[in-house]
Amino acid sequence: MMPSLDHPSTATPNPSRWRCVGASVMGVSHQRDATPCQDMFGYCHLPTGELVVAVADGAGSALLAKEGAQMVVEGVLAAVTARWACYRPASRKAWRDLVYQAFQAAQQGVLHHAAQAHQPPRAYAATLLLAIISQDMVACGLVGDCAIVVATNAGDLQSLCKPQRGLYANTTYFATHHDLKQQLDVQLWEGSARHVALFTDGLLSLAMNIEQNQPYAPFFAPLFAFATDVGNTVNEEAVAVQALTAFLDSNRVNQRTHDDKTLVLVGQVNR
Amino acid sequence: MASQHFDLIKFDTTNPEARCPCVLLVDVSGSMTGAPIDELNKGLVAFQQELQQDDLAALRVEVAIVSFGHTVRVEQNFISAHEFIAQPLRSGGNTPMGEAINLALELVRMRKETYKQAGIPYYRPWIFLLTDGAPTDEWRSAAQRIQAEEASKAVAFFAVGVQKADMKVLAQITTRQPLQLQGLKFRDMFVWLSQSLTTVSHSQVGQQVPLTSPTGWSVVE
Repeated sequence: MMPSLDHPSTATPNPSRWRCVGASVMGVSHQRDATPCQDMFGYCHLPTGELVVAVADGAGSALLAKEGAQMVVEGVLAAVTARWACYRPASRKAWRDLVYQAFQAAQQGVLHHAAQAHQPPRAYAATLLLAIISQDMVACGLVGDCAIVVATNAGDLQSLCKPQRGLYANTTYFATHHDLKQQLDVQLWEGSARHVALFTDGLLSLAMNIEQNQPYAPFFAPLFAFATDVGNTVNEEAVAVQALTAFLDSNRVNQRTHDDKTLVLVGQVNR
Repeated sequence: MASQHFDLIKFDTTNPEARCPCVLLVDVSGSMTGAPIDELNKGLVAFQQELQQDDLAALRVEVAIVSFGHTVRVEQNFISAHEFIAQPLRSGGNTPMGEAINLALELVRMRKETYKQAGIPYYRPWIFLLTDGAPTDEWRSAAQRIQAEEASKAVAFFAVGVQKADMKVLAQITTRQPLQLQGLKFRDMFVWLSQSLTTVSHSQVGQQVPLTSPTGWSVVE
């Protein structure tokens, strides 16, 4: 199964137990500087019903950041899909290994491409967040300052990985990091997620208290209610993507953040 | 349908603004008396006005001023740019630059500590040295500290020589090329500095800040 970028992978009604609505919108500072949107996301449904989502933010200072973000998203999704065809993780260690190996594969893809293009890996610097969402577990990995928030059936919110900040406000870590093992934050959240939200740093300060890693419920509750209402046809998903895009590009969001912003909302399909 | 949900969304307002600290390290020795100190003071006013013109810079940039002449003095401890009011500096005395550099580094270190304790993100601090002479105190240990702190990216240290400043000594203090001020163009220099700090204070994660070239106020060799 090929991972899809920015759009649902099937033309028929979604067979998965998960529905996914996501959008990336260029920040006003990028419009001003005429730099492209360097955020990227993608997702795919595994044949066994799990949903795999990846979100990346290309570094503003990286020459080929957009390309880098796209490569790591595609790379990490393809790696999970390929491994899933061979085995299913049966222990917590196996889950952690799967996430790590997927990041490793995505990084190798970038390094290989960079070498062929005679570019330094730094030119493709991008943060990367991966989540494998199943009925009884959310397995995720993060390098950089993206975030993933899970809502339980009881409605409690939890940020699974702490967004990683570098020494300074404008520094963070990237999927091309030389010591991936050390920098990659892998978390296995056991339970049944009602909703999951994945987003890039452009939304961080609006969506959570960053220092305390505490999601802001009044931000997420309406978004998850919106995700619940999305119908189960491709057309309704497309309408929902448009609505989410319009929200991310609204004045009230742009007044608070000038950066690119990506938000992917995942909800259980009601059957 | 969708807009109903989106209208209800509220944003977290508990995250503090990132701060962008800058220490001005200003030589007010006797040789600055007359036109130089007058132009410097006009430049400081321009610095204040320029920073306050940009809403985000006014919130994020924090200014401190250390002068060195008769004594080494904290003229202004770190203050948010929107509250900063340029006060005229007075000249007189020697050039205790070494002690002044050490004090500036100490102010930066303490400010970082405050940020960390309060969970406030911050940009790399800048120290901006202005002098028209040569150090009259021991300066080599201060220079070593600057070099160590530059190497660990703890600060960015810039030096500008005015008139007959000892550019050779400045070159030994900074790891960056020291600049020579054209005449007494303090005002142009401070406008450039405020614009550079504004750019930094707007920069986002992963973004390195390209500084505009200091044309218009520095001597091009």
